[in-house]
Formats: sequence, C-alpha cells, structure tokens
Amino acid sequence: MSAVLTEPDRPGVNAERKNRSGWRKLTTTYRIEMAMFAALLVLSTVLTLLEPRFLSSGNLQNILSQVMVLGIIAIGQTLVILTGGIDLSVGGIAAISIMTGGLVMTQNGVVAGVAVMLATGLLAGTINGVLVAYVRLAPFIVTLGMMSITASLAYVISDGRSLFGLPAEFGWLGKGNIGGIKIYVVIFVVLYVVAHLMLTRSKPGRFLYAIGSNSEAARLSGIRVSAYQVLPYALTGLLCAVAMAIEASRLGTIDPNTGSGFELTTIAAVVIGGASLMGGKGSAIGTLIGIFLIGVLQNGLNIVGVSAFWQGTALGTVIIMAVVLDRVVRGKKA
Amino acid sequence: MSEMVSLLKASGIEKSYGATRALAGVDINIGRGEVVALVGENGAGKSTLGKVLAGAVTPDSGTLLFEGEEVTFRSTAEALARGVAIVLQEFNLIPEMTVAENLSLTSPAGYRWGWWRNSRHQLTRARAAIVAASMDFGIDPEALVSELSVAQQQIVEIVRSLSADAKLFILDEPTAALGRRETEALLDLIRSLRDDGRSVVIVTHRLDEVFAVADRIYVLRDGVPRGEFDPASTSVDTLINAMVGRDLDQKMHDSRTIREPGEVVLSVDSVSVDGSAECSFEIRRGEIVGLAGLVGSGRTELARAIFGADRVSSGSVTINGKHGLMRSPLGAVRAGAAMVSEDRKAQGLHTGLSIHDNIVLTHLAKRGKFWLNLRKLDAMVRGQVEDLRIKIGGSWLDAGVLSGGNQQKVVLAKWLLSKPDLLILDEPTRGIDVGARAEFYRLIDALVSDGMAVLVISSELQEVLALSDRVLVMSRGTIVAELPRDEATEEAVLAQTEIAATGT
Repeated sequence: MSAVLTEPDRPGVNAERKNRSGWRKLTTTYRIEMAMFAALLVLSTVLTLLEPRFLSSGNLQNILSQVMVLGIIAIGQTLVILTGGIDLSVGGIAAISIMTGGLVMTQNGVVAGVAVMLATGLLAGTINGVLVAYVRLAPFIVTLGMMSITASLAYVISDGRSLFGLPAEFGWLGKGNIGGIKIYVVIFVVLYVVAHLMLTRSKPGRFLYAIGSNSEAARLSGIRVSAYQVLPYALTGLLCAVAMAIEASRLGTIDPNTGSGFELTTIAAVVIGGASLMGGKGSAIGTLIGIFLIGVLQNGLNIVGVSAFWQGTALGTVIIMAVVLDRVVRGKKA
Repeated sequence: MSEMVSLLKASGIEKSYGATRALAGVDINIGRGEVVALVGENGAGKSTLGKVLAGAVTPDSGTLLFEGEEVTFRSTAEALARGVAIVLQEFNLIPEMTVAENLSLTSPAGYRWGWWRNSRHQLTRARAAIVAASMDFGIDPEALVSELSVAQQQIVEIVRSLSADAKLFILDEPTAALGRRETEALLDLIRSLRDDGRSVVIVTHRLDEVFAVADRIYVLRDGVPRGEFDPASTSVDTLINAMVGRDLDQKMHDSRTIREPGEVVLSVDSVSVDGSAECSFEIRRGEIVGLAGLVGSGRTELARAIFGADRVSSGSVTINGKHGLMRSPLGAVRAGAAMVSEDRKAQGLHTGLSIHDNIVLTHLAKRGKFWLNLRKLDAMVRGQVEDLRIKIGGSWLDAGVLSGGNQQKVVLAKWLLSKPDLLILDEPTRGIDVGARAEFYRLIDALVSDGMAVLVISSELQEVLALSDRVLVMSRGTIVAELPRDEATEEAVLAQTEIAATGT
C-alpha cells in the first residue's frame, strides 16, 4: 500500500497525469455540450449524405441567417436560466423594441431609431428584473405578463401594420460586409465570445452560477443577490433589441408579430445546451450548440423534403432526449 | 417498580450508522400507564432509541416485546397499527390546509368508504374531540397551518398523534420549540394520558420537565445505558453527572493552547433577537467564545443578527470598529466577519458548482475585480485545499459529492480565503465523524493563535467547552451567564440553564 502512496516523482508520468486531469476537467465541465456537439455533427453528416445540397454555401448562409436572431436572444435566456429564472417575454420585447425604434427611425433618422430600440429593450428587461429581484415575484409570472403587455403594445403602436420605409443606411447592419464576412455574423461571434468570457472568467459570471445554485448561500457569502438578479433580465431585453435590429435591417421591413414563439425556441436551445431550469448549470457554448442543432434540424428536414409539420415533433424529441441524456450521464457519475 | 405490568420491553438493542455506534446493548422496559423520560446529551442515542421503539429506525439487533409478544416494527405505520405512536422533531403537516383538515387527514374518522371527507363540511364526533384538544392550546382549528408559529405547529403535530388512540406515545423533544405556557399545557396533557392508563416516553434534555412529569428517568450516554433513576429520590446533580460522565471531556479540555487576548474585534451592544430580551458582549483577538444553550434559546438568531443575515429591531454591532447594525451579510463580510452557518446544504454549500467555484466566492465578493485571474485563483484554491487537507479528486469536481467533513472544510476554506478577523461557527461539526472533528478543532486552534477571534455555537456542550476561552450561556433570547474557562464545566452550564429556565 505505502509503495503506491509514495510513488517517486517521475516527470513524464506527472506530465501525463496533468494532461489527463486537464482532459478530465474538460469532459466533466462540458459533458453535455460535447455530447450535443457530437449529435450536431452526426445530424449534419446524415443530412449531407441524404442531400448534398445541405453543405452548399447558399444553404449554410441560410441556416446562419435563421439562427442569428434567436441565437443572440438565447445568450440572454442562458443568463436568466442560470440564475434559476426564465424569460417568456423575449418575443414581446423584441416586437415592441423594433416597432418603437422603427417608427422613430422613419421620422428622426437611424441613430435616434437605434437608440430608442435599444433603450426600449433594456427598459422592458430591467422592469422584469426589478420585479423578480426586488418585488420577489416568480419569474414565470412576471415575464408572462410582460410578454402579453409588450406583444400587445407592439400592435397598438404599429396599428397592426408591418413597418416599411426604413432608411437605406440602416440596411448596412443586415447586409454590409467586413472583409467578406457579414457584419451581423461578426456581431454574433463577438457576442458569444464576450458571453463565454463573462461566464467563465468574470466576477458577475461566477455570481450568476452561485445564485442559481443556492441563492441563500450566495447572499450569506456577501453577494448582492438582488442586483445580480436584475442583470440577466436587463441584458436579455437589450439583446432582444439588438437581434431585432439586425433582422429588420436584413429584411428591410418588420411585422409586429415577429417575436411569437421566440421564448420556446430560445429556452429549448438553452436546455439542449445542458442548462438546468433549476439554475446553476449551463454555458454559452452549450447554448450556441443548442441553437445550431435546432437550426440545422429545421433546415435539414426542409431540405430533404420532410413536411414542415414534422419539425415540432423532431425538436420536441431532441429537447427531451437532451434532458434524459443529462440525467443518465449524471446518474452514472454520482 | 418491579411489579408493574410491562407494555413494551426492548432488550439488547444495537444500532450503528457506518462507523458511529448509536446504541449498544440497550435494555428498557416501559410499563402500562407510566411516563418514562429518556435523557442524555446530544448524540447520546436517546432519539435513536425512541425511534427504534416506534419503528422509525430498524435496529441492527435486539428484540422488542409488546404486550408480551415479540414484534418487529418495519415502519411507524406498523407500530401505530399495534398502538405505538411517535411525534418526531420534524413536522409533517400540510401548510396550505387548516389545522382541522390536517388533523382529520390522518385520523380514521376523517374518512368514509376510503374517501377523505373535507372537514369543512362534516363535523364528526372524533373530529370534535381533536378540535377541542387543539383549542386547549389556544389554536384556532380553522387557521391555516402556514399561519401558525413553530410552537403551535409542534402542538398540532402532538395533538394529531393523540387522535391515533395509541397505547404508547413517544415524544421526541416535544418542548424544544415551545414557550413556558405551552410547555405547561403539554405536561398536563401527558399527565392526563397517564391517568387514562396510557404510557408516554418523552425524549428531552430539559431536566425541569423530566422532574415535573416523569415516573422514571432513563439515562443514556454514548449509546450505552447509564442507569435508571426515580425522580422522587434523585437530585439534578446526580442526573447531570450520569448524563455527562467525566473521563472524556477532561482530556479534550486540556488540549487547547491558551493565549493572551488582544484588541476587541466584535462588540455586541443590546442586540435583541426576539424583540424583548437583549444581548451584549465582546470578543477579542486570539479568543474563542462559546455560545451554549438549548435549542431555541436564540443562539443561531444572535449569530445571524451579528452577521447581518437577518434584520434586527434594536441594538448595535461593531466589527473591527465598523459601527452600526449590519444590514446585509456583505456589510459584515467587508467589515471582516465570516460565518459558517448551521445548515450546510441550505446556507453554505453550492452543490452542483465545482469545489473551486465554491471556495473563491467570498474572496470575490469582498475584493474581486471584474475579470478574474484564473491562475491566481487556482493557486489560492490549491493553497486552501492543502492547508485544510481537503480530500478531493480535483477542484473542478462537484462539491456536492464530497463527504460531510470535506464539504464543511470547503465552506470553511471559502471563508478563510476572505481573510476574516471574526469567524462565527454555528454547529461546525454537525454530521462530521470523530476523526475529522479532531482535525477541525486543531485547525480552529491554529487560526486563533494567528489572531483570529472566534464565536462558536454548538448543541454539543463538550465541543463548546473544549474550544472556548469563555462560555456565554443563553436562554430565551438573552445571555444569562458568562463562565471563564476554568469554571466552565458541563455541570455549571447546565445548572445556569436550569436556573434561567425555572427562575422566572
């Protein structure tokens, strides 16, 4: 026994051990993310075999533009779910911010329009956050109410009509390029990189996990739980506005009911990415994989000629399988 | 006493939890129409014995004879079917239902043809009796359980067991949460049960009650029976001696290094935890002060008030010269305080998060910058893991899978990393095995030698005495006595508690 315990220091062995422990750390921390990434690869391979057009640059561009809007909003949803909350109002906030911002833009120019857009999103999100953190209402109820209010106001403001005649300069956001890459793709990538760094290497990121895992212990550790609880909702509101700005710019027009269904898809992406609705678990990388899995699934079924009616069944199956997988993997570890 | 008619007789009862021996070779005989008090210190095995008698715990070996017939109770339901009812310390009431509904839920009279009859509509005779019993304690049967105080809920729990029409009632610390008046009412109830020919086993460490109501006192220490006593011919001192024993604590007592206390770190002035009684004391650098007292005496409430975890109505707390009541834990943390709370799972540990993330938390809250220096944090975590000898596979693993002792060390490491001047320990060794405990004590001793001030709370008197330079005895929300180290013996502390409990 003692011989095993007092094994001499052999540099090679130790280096190898260190590597192995680094690998173990990675596979422990990003277990679900890796499994889902594998699923995404398998799905893409199968789709390519069935229909080589799947890999064409036109189609990939298509997937990217479909995933863009929900992908940006899903970053916010990830933060909210990390703290143990949920945001059902993302679609409504997206609609209200683009409608108010769009109207201002047609009259007062691009800069004023974008400012109003972002401010509206941020305001609505902050109201959510304050009601959850300081008035201590259930996130589900607060955001359900906010979803209804914002969606309704979007119709009131636009009188139910689509918005046309956005200034031409605004098209830059959705159609412009930087070095051959679409500007919105750059924004998307930057947002995910920042989100990932925030969650893994910043103080607020750590605190969000701590609050989601055990908010009373977090409070007793000296964390301002309420303040940090407002943050995810406020950022989600802001990201809704950013995402819709890109969408409106790309399409040149926007409809007041654009946001419907955003909440379910973004929550699905976060859950597929390995987050727990109980809070304390999830990552930006996971959500990124989740949103692409959903995008590829929808696009792929379409391209191989499966009726669009089947999309919901496929998506639902993936969501449930992701959660079951999580349970199985964790069950083994425990 | 030998001529009594035996109702329940247990012999050769053994029970171990892992390496911990809870009961060893226990024999006990409970007669018809008799009130037996089971006494002993915390961890003496008295609760376990009560649970064995009622089928809540299955013993490793030993036999039970009920009314002369050998029985095996595999559950409390089986025991209840034979006529043995138990009231546990935990509540099993449904908060959204009224008192009457809760009572009728478990009473046979609450059902007809297997369907539960909502008590609002049908008032049966049995229910009327239950309701009358609860009214004796001033509880409105139509009140929602969630609106009741803890004491009232305890009463409802007890009243509910009475509706079971059992021959033997086992009450586990029934008065722990009760005030004076309710305790009196409960003791009356126990006496009336006895007059009715039923038997009662009361598990308690309040000796005044024992002498008030028991026909026989049965003492346990370290899971071993230490004798039976007749309350009429026994003094409190004799009983305390039997409960405490002397061999073990003396040894622990001498293992501490004594230091000269330095400047004042914590000063508590007229802090009230329950709106009436007030507490004032000071703790200096290099000093360990113990807070002793019964469960419910306000120890935890006082600690939480000092730390700003709960708002307090009056008084002031000064930590390191930072004056005024702490409004939030963050204020206390910044002033230099740390608190290891009594409920590790609910208030200390972040299960699901890695050990690393747990340990760095208060450090970040106190002086973290926006972006983290991961390499530096890793080094700090590794330092703590080595210093406290936490046994882990890797700091990225889920803290929730560690053993109780290692979890507690993770929580302690979290606080030590914030470099506190005042460390509050509430039940620091609860659920930790003996070996880890000794190590924990050494650790605390070393910290204090480096100038930290420590306030330690424990239900285990031995622990408080072994660690403390001074012991403050608490009772009913106030500090009733202060004992220096050489005068702080278990007898003295218990005596002070007794005086406070019976004196007013």
